[in-house]
Amino acid sequence: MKHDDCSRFADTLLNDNGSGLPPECRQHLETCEHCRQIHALDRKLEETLATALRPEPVSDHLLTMLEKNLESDRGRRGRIPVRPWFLVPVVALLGILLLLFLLPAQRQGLHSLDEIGRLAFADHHNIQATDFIPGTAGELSARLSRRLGFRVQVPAMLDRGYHLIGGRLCVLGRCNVAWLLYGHGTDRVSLFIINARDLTFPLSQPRKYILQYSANTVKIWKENDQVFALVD
Amino acid sequence: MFAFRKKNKKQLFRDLAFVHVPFLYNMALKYSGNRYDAEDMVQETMLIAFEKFHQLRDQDKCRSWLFSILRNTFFKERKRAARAPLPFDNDHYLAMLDAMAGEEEISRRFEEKELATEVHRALDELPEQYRTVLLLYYMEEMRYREIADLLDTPIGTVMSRLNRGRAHLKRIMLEYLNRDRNDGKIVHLSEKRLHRSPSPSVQEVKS
Repeated sequence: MKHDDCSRFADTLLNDNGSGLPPECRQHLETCEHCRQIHALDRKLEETLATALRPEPVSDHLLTMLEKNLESDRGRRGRIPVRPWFLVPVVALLGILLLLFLLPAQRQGLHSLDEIGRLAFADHHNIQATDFIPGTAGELSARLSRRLGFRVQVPAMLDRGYHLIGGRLCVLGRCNVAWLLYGHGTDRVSLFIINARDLTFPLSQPRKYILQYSANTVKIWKENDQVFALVD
Repeated sequence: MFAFRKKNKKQLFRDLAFVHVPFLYNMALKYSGNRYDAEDMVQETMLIAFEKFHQLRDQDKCRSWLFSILRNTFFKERKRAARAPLPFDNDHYLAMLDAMAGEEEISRRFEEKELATEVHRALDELPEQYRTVLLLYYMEEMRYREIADLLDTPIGTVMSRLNRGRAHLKRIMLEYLNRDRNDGKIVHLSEKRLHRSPSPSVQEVKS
């Protein structure tokens, strides 16, 4: 026989997971035959479900295969595993090697006549803000040779009407060179002396190359182990 | 040094992942329906997991992580089907219970029928989201909270899916138990008629 309040307990009965029903619901079950039967049938279905879905033991074959796969470290479908953490040091190392091989050439070399001309022209325009060490050709040759590590022969250029004002070290691009300043009246002429080994391109001797930058010309020529760049 | 790390990695993987093989296998078995496919799925899962082992940040979540790989492997081609909603038929189930409760014939049929096969068949037809929750609940005996954590799903969603999935399965089982004894046809009971009378009655027969 059904009671009026059976519907109140319907959800509770259907959600019984075996851990026990609330006292109120248990009390109702004791007095309601119909709900007791519903509950019993639901529990029976629940048990059947649990039994049907019972887990199965894993076969030894599968465990053996898994162990074998792990031991052989077999990549999936023969693919070489790529791991980001592994790539970082490899890429960094390659980068360092590239820098080691490429940077020295970039740092020490002068790569074209135009590069020498542009740099010499730019420096010449800064002579007002630059200090030069006074001295004779011999004194400056000795001093600059000692500092630069190659033999610097400072030409007197008296035959061309120029007197030597002074000299100093400077950097053309990334090369250390000698910079000499000559005067002729109010005119100033810069002579840059470069170690021929710092050039990364061939320069014929005794040809002279003349480059024009605005009102200035830059003459470049080679004599033995030295390359001269004269800006006037 | 690399060899040492590799050995350590293997050992760590063995310690963390292998303990979950029975769980993975049983889930795979229920998803695929046969042992061969299930073993393949587990092997594939473990290979992927070993490859991506460095991605496992929290070792306590190894089981959840492995399970997500297994599911992705198996369901990546079935995502649309997996998202299909399941009609809520708790009321229908209750109506059937109401009608069939106390019937001795039904109790007897529990013993006669191969219900396990029917359960598996019904389970196969369920959308993945319901199937997974049911399997975790019944097969792995996990609680709502554990299921929610494993699937990274709100607990309310887990409860809802479990209720709907369970009601659906039980309704299928009842229909199977109520199969017409003479010609083996499945009997579908009308809700309205059931509410009027607690005794089971045949309303419509589908072949």
